[in-house]
Amino acid sequence: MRFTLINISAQLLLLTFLSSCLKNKFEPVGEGDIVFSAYDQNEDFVGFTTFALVDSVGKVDMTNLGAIDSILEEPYRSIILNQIEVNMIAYGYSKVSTVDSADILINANLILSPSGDLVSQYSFVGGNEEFEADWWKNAHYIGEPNYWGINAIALYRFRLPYYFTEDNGTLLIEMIDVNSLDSVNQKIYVPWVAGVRAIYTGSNIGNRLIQAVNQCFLQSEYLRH
Amino acid sequence: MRQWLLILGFYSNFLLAQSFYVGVNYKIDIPVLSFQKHIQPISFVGSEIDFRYFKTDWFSFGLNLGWASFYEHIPMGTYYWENNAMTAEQWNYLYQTDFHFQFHFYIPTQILIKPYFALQLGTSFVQDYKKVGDLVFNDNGWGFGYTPEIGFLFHLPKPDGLAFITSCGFSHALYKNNHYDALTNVNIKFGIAYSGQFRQKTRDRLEKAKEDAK
Repeated sequence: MRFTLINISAQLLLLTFLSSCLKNKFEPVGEGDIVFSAYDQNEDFVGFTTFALVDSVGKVDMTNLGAIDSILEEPYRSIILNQIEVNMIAYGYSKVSTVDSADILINANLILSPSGDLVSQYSFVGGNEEFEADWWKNAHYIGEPNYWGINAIALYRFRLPYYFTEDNGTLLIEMIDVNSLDSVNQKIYVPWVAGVRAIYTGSNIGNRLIQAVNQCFLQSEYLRH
Repeated sequence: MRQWLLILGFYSNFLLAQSFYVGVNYKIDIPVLSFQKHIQPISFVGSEIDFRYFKTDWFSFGLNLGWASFYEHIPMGTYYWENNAMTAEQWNYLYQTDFHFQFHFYIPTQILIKPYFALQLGTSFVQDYKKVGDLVFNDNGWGFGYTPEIGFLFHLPKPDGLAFITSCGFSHALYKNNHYDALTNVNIKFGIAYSGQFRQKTRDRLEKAKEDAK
């Protein structure tokens, strides 16, 4: 009897201390992707009917100005462009090959920025709550207005989401409104942006890219015609 | 070596003297009120160490050091606000460490079960981690806390001085952030304790039984 009680007591003690060390403290295993999107609430997306898609995907290294690798490698480049095209057509837009016949231009770039200071790189332009993002000025950004033959700088009329900071490998999809060109002040506006954080790290990047680009559109129903 | 054994023996005797009580408890915490909206699942990972000093047969006071871990995984979901949308998986972690003074009022009984009411007062250290996708936000801090509690001590006839304990309490820590107003949970404890008082009680009981037999 005495032995049994001591045995039970010892096991209870052991259980108590072991249970306190159990798995809850471990980090979860899973993808860290975050799909985000934001848009200009004053924009009427239904008015857009045609789009031109950029022909390549830039690899914008914000940490190394001397980086020479400026194009995202295959198959990721094709996956991104194909999925954007599929989704735009599914939402009722028609693809065109020239800027002159397009209402909107779509860019896609991969931003590498482990330093996590993208928010602080915004520059305020004028007094109209217009924001400029630094990656547009990067030598490896593909799709800035000059790339399309437009002499202007691209501006946002809304603040970009804060979780841009502390990132490594963010896919950015940006929309330029061709009709918003202000030739006098050399401005053109970006009414929609979407992206995926941490997409360039981890495993199974190709499949995650497909799902992530689809999700960018799924959570942006206002684009649908 | 002998000196150390003597010192150890002295303090053991002191701690296990008639008025002292030491116990360890396994703790289950059920989040309630606003805290439940932040983390819903019951925590099965908690423990505490319980020191008491019996001032009288019906009153004791002491220290209670407790720890509990809460966790919830929120599957992938999309959230909308203003002109933004975000899709991500989320994980919430919260660790609560309590440093409480405690006071117990026992109901005298002639049987081996001893019911009691208790109040624990003190501070809680809270470590709150929220993981959204690959982003981690943390929020650590202290808050005043209290726990009213009811419980039962089950004296074991043998070995001398040992008791099982079970109790139920409402824990309220005044710690708030954007996700909850306070840390509130109902806890259920199971534990084992040793006290010189129980040993003495057992001896008294046995002597009384012998006398009755005569």
